[in-house]
Parts: sequence; C-alpha cells; structure tokens
Amino acid sequence: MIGQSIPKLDAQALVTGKPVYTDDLAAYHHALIVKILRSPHAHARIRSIDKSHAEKIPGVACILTHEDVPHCRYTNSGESYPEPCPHDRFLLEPVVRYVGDEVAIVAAESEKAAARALELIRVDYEILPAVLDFTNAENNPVLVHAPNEGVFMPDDVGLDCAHNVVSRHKVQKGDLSSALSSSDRVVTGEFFTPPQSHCMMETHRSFCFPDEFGRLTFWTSTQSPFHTRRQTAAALGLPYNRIRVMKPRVGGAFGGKNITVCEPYVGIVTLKTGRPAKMVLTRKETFTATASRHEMRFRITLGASADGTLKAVQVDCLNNTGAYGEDGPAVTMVSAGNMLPMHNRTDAIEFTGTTVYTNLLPGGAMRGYGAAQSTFAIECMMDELADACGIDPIAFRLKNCAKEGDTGGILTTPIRSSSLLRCIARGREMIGWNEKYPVQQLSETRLRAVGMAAATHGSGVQNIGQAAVSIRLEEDGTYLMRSGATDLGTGSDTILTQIAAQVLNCPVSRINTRTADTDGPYDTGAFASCTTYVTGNAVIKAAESFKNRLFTWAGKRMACPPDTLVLLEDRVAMQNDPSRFMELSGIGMATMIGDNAMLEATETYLCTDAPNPFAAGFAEIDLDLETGKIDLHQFVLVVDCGKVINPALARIQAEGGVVQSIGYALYEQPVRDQKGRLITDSFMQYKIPTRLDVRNIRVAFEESSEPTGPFGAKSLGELVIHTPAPAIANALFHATGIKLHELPMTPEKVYRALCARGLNKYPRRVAQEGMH
Amino acid sequence: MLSILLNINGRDYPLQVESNWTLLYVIRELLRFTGSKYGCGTGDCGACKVLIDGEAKNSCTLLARNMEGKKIVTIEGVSQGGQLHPVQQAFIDAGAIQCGFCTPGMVITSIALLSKSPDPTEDEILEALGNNLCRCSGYKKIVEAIHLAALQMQEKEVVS
Amino acid sequence: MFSFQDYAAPATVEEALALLDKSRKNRILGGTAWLRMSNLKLHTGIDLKNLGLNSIYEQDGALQIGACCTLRQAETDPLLCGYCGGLVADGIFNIVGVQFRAVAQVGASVFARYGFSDLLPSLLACGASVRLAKAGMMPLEDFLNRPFFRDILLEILLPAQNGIGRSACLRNSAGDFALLNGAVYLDHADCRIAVGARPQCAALARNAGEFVLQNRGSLPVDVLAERAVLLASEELKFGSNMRGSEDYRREMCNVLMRRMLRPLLGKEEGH
Repeated sequence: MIGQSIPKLDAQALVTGKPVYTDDLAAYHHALIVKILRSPHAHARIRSIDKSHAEKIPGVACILTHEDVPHCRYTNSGESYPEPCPHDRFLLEPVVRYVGDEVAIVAAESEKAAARALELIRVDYEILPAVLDFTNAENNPVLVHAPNEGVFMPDDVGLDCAHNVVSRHKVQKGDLSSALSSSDRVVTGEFFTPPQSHCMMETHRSFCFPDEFGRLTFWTSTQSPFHTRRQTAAALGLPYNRIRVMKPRVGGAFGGKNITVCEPYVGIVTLKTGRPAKMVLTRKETFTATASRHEMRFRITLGASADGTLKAVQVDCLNNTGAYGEDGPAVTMVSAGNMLPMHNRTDAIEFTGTTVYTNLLPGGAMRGYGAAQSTFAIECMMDELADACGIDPIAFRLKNCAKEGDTGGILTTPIRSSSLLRCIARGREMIGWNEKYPVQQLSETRLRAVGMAAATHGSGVQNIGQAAVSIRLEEDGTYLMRSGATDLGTGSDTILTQIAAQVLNCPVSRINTRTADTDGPYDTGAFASCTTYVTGNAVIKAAESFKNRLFTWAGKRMACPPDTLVLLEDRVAMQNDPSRFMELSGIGMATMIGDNAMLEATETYLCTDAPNPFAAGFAEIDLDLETGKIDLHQFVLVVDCGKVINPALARIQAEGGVVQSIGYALYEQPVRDQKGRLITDSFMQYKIPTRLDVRNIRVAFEESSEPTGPFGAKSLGELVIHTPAPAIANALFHATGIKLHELPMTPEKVYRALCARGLNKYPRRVAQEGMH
Repeated sequence: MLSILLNINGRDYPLQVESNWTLLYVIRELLRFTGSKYGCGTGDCGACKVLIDGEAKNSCTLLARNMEGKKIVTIEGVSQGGQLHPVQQAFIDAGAIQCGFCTPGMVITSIALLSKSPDPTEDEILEALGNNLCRCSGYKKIVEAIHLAALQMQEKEVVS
Repeated sequence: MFSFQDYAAPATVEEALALLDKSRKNRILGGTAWLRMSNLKLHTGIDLKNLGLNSIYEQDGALQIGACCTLRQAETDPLLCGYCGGLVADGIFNIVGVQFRAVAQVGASVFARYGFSDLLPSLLACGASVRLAKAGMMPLEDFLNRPFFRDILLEILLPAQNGIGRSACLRNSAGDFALLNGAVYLDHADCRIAVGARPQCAALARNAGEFVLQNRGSLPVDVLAERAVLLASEELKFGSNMRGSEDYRREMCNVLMRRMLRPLLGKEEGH
C-alpha cells in the first residue's frame, strides 16, 4: 500500500462531473441566494443605510444591515486555541475598513432579484483617511482599528491597535553583533514580496439549511470544518452545538479557504428566515473580498567568514495583514519558524517581525504561509553572500545547511531525517549544473543561466495540530474510517485510506472513508501541511488500537492469546496455523448486532514534533538582454518528504506548487489603485500560468525516513512552493549580477536593472571554488 | 420569458428562459447538469466548457436562447453507455485529477481536440488548453493524459 | 457580465441600423467575447448573424473580411494566410486560446478599438480600409482617429499588394494582453509601421515609414532600421498602465520594431 500510486478514490466521480461540490449540492434545494453589498471605500463610517427601496423588490426575503445582526466580536481565522488572531470583526458594523468590506446582506429568491436589491440599497458614507502603505502603517495617525473598541487577541502576541500593530515576534540565538563584527564578509538587502491571489478554480461558496433539530447545517467549501464552526458560532452568538459543518468536494483552496468567509452570512440568513440559503462568491469577490498572500518586506543582513562559514543571520520582517488581523501574526511567526531551521548551524540568529494593519484586503493563509516569502529573500541573500566570499553557491549551501542529526539552537524539533544533501546533488545533475553554471551566451542578445535555492518547511503545527480518527468493523467485515481531515483536492482522503489499509493489511476497497464533518472526529484541518503527518499518525494509532480490540475479542472466541493472531484481508487467523481463523464478516455481524461488543477504536494524535521536509530547486532561464524578459527554460525540484506514501499524488502536488511559484516569481501581481481598490479582479487582468507558460518541469524524490512520521512520511504541500522564485532570481544574478529584490520579476523591472548596469556586454563569471 | 428547445446529451429539453440567461446558468440551475462549473463567469477559466456541435465552448458566455438547433454535450453526456469515455479513463490512469474542478472542462476540450486531431502534437495540445486554467496540477499530468487518450483511442480504432 | 432586456437578430443592415439608432443602450453583440468585460445594462442586444457577414473572399487581389468572421476563421483562412506573408494571421495567433479566437469576431475587435488588440496593428500595416453601414468606406487609420461614433462595421478590406509583413508582441506572460505590439509591412513602394498596446490603440508611425522609403538603398540596412524605429518611437505617444510604463514601452518600441523591420529590409537587399 505505502509507496503505491493508487488512483484517487474520488477520481471517477470528479471526471464524470458528479454533483459533489458545494454549489452542486445546493442546486437540489430551493435555496435563497445571498449577496453582499460591499464598501467602495477603503475606510469609511456608515452614517445611514436605507434599504426601503430594495426591500420592495419582489422575491427579496430579507435585507440585513449592522442594525439587524448580532454584535459579536470574532476572527475569521484561527487554527489553534487560543488563537493568535485578533477578534477584530463584527458580522456587520458601521465602519468599513477596505474596499470590499461587507456593508449589507441581501437574500432573495433569484439572482436577478438579489442583484437588483443590491443596487437599490442607499448608503451614506463618511469617507475617512486610509492607511494604504504598509511601510507607513506603524505609528500612522490614522488608525485602522480604534484601541478602545473591544478588539482582543486570545493569545496576545503584541496587539497594539493604537499603533496599527497586530503582533511583534522575536527569535534569537547567540550574540548577533559580535558574530557580525567578526564576519569577514557581510551582505545586506531589502526585499519586497507582493500579495498573491489564490485563484483556486472554485470560488468561495457556502450552503446552509436548518436540520430537523433546528441546527444550522452547512455544506461549505472550507479547509477546516471545526474552525469554521467555532468562528461562525462566535460571529452569530450561537453555541457550537447548534451548528454543524460538513465539507464536500472542494475545488482547490491553497490557504484561501482557511478563513470563514461565507458561512456567517448564509448562516444569519437561514437563522432569520428559517430557509436554506447559499452564497457563491463571484470571481471578482474571491479576488477582492476574501484574502491574499501577505505582502512583506524583509531587511536581511548575513555575515560569513572568508572560508564561507555562515556566522550571522539577521532578518527583520514587516508583514502587511490588511484591514483584519486573521493569520497575520501566525504568518509572521512562520516566516521565521519554517525558514530559520535551514540556517540553524550559524552562530547567531536574530529575527524580528512586526505585523501591521492597513486599509487593504486582508492578508490570509496562502501556501507557504510567510515561509515562501522569507525563503525567497534569504535564498537570494545566500547567493549574494556566496558570491562575496568567492564561493560556488551550491558549495556554500552544502557547507552551511542544516543536516540530519542537528538539534538545539532555534530548532523546536530535532532534524531526525534529511536527504537534503542528496536532493541538492541529484538536482544539480538533473539540470546539468556543472556544464551550465553560471551562464552561457546563446546569441548577442540572449543569455542562458542557472540558479538554485534550498528550502524547508514544517509538517503540522507543533503542539497544536491534532487529529482524531475512528475505525469500525462493519457487519460485512469491511471497515468504516471516520476522520475530520479535509481533502481539498490534494487526495488526502486517498492517502489516509492507504495508510489505514497498510495497517489493516487489506486493499483500499475494503475501507470507506468519511471525513470533514463536525459531527465526526476532530481534525485541525488542512493547513500547515499537516494532514498526511498528523492525521496519518492518528490513522495508524487508531488502526493499531482497533486491531488490539479485534484480537482481544477474536482471541476469546478462538481460545488463543491475542498476540498469536494476525489480520488478513478478510479474516483473523493464527500466525502459526492459518487453518484456524475467523472471517471478518462473521466477526462484524456478531459484534455489531449482538455480543455487547461493537468493534470500534478512536484515537487522537497530537503533533508534538513538526519535522522538517527539505527541497532543492534548480532553474534554468533564458534572458533577453534587450527586453528584460525571462523565459523559464527548465525547472528541477528534488524533494525530501520522508517516505512518499503515494508517488503519483506527491508528484502532481509538487508540479502544481512549482507552477504557482513561477507565476509568483515572474508575473502574478495584484495591483491597487490610489484609493486602495484592487484593480486586478478578474482572470483577464490577473494572469496565472496557463499551459503555454510552463513547459519543462521535472520533479524527483529523495526519500528519507522520518521516525516520527506515518511510515516515515513528512509533509510536502507547502514546501514545494518555496524554491522557484529564489532559484530564478539567482539565475538572473549569475547571468548579470543583477540583484532583483522585488517580485514579480517582470520584463520591465529586469530591463531597468540591465540598463542600470549598462549591460550589453559579456556576462560576468563567478569565481568557482570548492565544487564537489 | 422565451420558450426554447435545447438538445443536450442526446435529449430534447423544452425550457422557459430569460433573454439574457447563459447556457451555463440553464444547464446547472434548471436542468441540474452540475458537472459544468462556474469558475469565473467571464469565459476566462474554461471550467464551464461544453461541446457545441463538437467544438469546446465556454457555456458561461453563450446565451441559452442562441443554442437552439445545436447539439450540446456536457460532461454528463460524455461517457458512452455507462462506460467512461477513453479521455476520462486516461485522466484517471495518468493521475491528472486533483481538486477536479477544472476536470470536466479539460475533458471536454480534450475530446474536441482529439476528434479533430487524433494524433496531436505537443504544441497542438498546448494551444488547445490555452483557455483551460488549472491551479492545482501544473498541467503536466493533464497533457500526459491527453497523449495517453490519443494513444488508446487510436489502438481501439485499429482493433475495431 | 452584461445583461440586456431584449435581443434581436435583424435580417437586413437597415433593420440593424434602425435598432441601433433607437436607443443609446442598444449594442451590437460581436461574439460577446469582450462585452463581458463590462457591467453594462443594455436595452437591446443586436446580433448580426443573419446579415451574411461571415465570409472572407477575394476580388482582384484585394481581400474582403466580413465583420462577423471569428478570429479563428481569419487565422486559418487560406487566402489570409497567403496574404503578405501571413501578416494578419500571424498577429491573431498571439491571442491566447483557440476557443477564445473561435468566439471573438473580427468586426467587434476592430470597431471597439481596443488598445490591446493584436489584430489592429496588422490591419493598419496592411493599409486596410473599413466599410461601415452609415459612414461608408474609409481607411482604417482614419476610422481609428475619428472620435467614437455609432455605426455598424460591415467589412474590412485589404488592398491588393504583394509585399511582406511581420507582427510581434511583448507580453508579461503567454496568456496576458500585450504590453506592446506592432506590425511592419514592406514592398517596393510602401513601408508601414504600426504600433499598438501603447497602451492606446494601434497607430501608424508615418514619419518612420516615409524615412524608410526615402532612404532605402542609400543607408546601410542596420542604420536604416535603427533610425526608422527611433523615429517611430519619437512620433508616437505612449502611456503607462499596470502592464508597463510609458518609458519602457517607448524603448521596447525600438526593440520590437527593429526586430521586424531589419529582417524585412535585409531580405530585400538579399542579406
């Protein structure tokens, strides 16, 4: 089972277009259509709202303003409890804080009626000055959230509304100033990483109906049913047990559905009207009114000795979390926590991070979660430092990177498994580094160059990620496995079933897997790359526990000690005498229907370690010296995610992550106008990679064995997005000496840099030293 | 409201539609053919593709009222007599499905391509997929699936 | 998305004009590929599908393209592919999405004068004319220079000529609008250099074209090309938008135009 590329269990349903997504299920109910009136201003006070004309539209069921809804503070994110997320939202309130912020809720029988009603709501705004530049937010006289209005953070990591600060973070090891002053080579740089829109193919949507006991029941496109329930309960002022959340098939998320966007709005409509209600965000709303990757600024100083030993790492991070805090503080923490372990061997580290409010679209979880941004910045600096030392960039990394067996320093989890050195060696060979580094001249106006980057991440969130799994023997001898895990299309349902099948020694066809229902076992949800690692471990625990119960019961019936039994595909048998057995179907029937002994085991796994996966990415670019256009000729990614449970699923995850990062590196850019309105609000204006943009991507795996992981596995999902941007930037650096510290690397930016260096000449060569 | 007759997946459906209803809206909300997806509503993402007289088109930019007299095939109508279409089987076999939201549109585009070009070059495939966005997979497996489908469909031809 | 209260598919041009004149909120639907960009509330959408404007034919060496032809039709038409080295087909090919090109109509692309149009530079470089229902026949360049007026575009005419043309574009990503595009046409009597996505819509660089005609043969090809494109980037106006700045566009005009012009001049000289 483990290591098998079995097809996704839902593949057939998906390829035949079965109605398994949120809006498909809603189509069978006569649901009210819910739409939101949104603020056209970045910062304003609502003096009055007149809904009287809108209410007259035939088919309108209700229109709700801030005067009609509960006044309860909540946050729309929160992966842990207590959460380091400011409770700075109300469902609706008389202040709007970014263009797109919710102003009123309309529910109607038809799209047409809802759209018409939206047009007729009259709002009188008092426009307020807005904070639109995150580098100017701290101590700005304009405050996004007033300090005395009840905003609080359960896990307070430095909330200071009076200064537009949401959190402060510090990580420290050793004596930085002495390490820097004793460094022979010091490089500094300032980096800007832009927001990035998730562009998952299925926009945000949610469907709610009252069940037969009057509970609000949701089918919703979410990454975490349990957190969604908690946040929705807070927003609506309801107890948790009056809400049930279920996740159907989800059309992609990448972090964007880790926030409770639609649920409170459809929930309040169902509460008020007693009717099913659905809300399907338009593509424009998904762009402009949910969240995007956190925009960040990094100021980095690195120091090394002349022989290329990294001695000092200083990183200052400024994180723009937008109008509402949500994931901001956690992203700041993770930009340190999932990047610094790579550099733990250095003498001294100092990371300082500040998260600030602005009147812009909130930053939200997006694949990589701060570490994608910080890895870009530091991996560019690593190349610049290697260059300053006159050392080959690969040699520099091999010398300084974290290695298997490392512990202590800023590591909260020891590195018990790492094949990073093999990843680097293999990737180097696959791309043909020795023949191509640093640069070749293809013609008078075209260069071809290679660059690389190394990255790490985590697997789950230490002491926070928790999953419970139940396994039950059915009457027919098959199994029902229930978990809260949230398959977003990644195939986690399939992988968890594979893991269970391995322990239960049966084909996956004998296991029915039901997931993501708050009436079922708890799961932290799909984020922080935790599902395979955390829920996978819970599956093993539950399956082992189940086997114990099974053998105990069967041992009595078969008059033999439980530890002499083995579990086969359809029976329990004696290890030494297979002719003595009981069929599982018989056991199932007996235990389910009589005998006072239904065979079910429920176990919980708390992630006490978050082991680091590793990756090395290599980019080969073509550069047009006259236009500045970078074409990615080839990209190679070699991954250490421990044991690969399902190679086909791992591969497609990796390929997809690389492509997302290529867009981020070269052209994806949300653009705002001077009033803070996002103008890249459609696929026409915001371009994500099409098949024509990405030709040659190669992925390989170098397995290691993580002792704490399910069958040795670590995570993969976010790690794969870290290396393309810095590898491409480093290739540009090798080709031209240009240090482009801002994404995306558009032709115009590169062209300006080329002009600044007067570059129409032959490429510079980096001194090569110590190459293996 | 207009009365129109649409031929979808081999059957005629008499319908009452507004002048400005898109084909996507009608097939999802009136007929419950929910396999075609709303991903953008502006013809940019391809998740809503259906076959119109054998050509792959974005149903979100087609007016339902203009579709009379045309042969419309949605993803629901693509499997043949309970058997998966070779393109569908190839997508499963090649492991080209992640979240699945773009999949029906990809399958439709692939079927249209292979019906015109049974042995497409890499460039022809890339061109054909230009209007189908996928955010999960990076496209590589999808292209492999189309190659696989082309091969399998040709073998079937040879055998039969 | 756009919405309209009524829909009509008139049988004659006169009927179509009458509908158009009836209300400012009536619009011609041209494949509806671009109309979706706006949130217009229309009164009547007017479909020209019954007017027989969907073919391409030749008359005495000149080509007539019906306004309802799709971009895909134009791109694959054998007559157009053979015209001036495939200049028009070339420009269309850069527009992403075979299925998009199968929907978008030539007439609509021209009439709307979209700055990002990949088709307009090629047509200008061809010396195209347009025939409108009310205003009659006029050079495309004149049409583009006139302030917007309500009319129906019926046909695009490409003159009989046997030079060669090329088109080129610069894009941030394959699926994006061009941040600059252009086309060049050259024969023994004419040189037309058109630049589009400035971001304003395509325009002819007349001085540059004149310069080539006057100095051909007396200047080395490299110098001729360099100076001509410099004139082009000086005589045309550029602007900034989110895809690129004015300065970058002006400088890229030099690069793109030279890359097209130089080989054409060289071919002439037998280089």
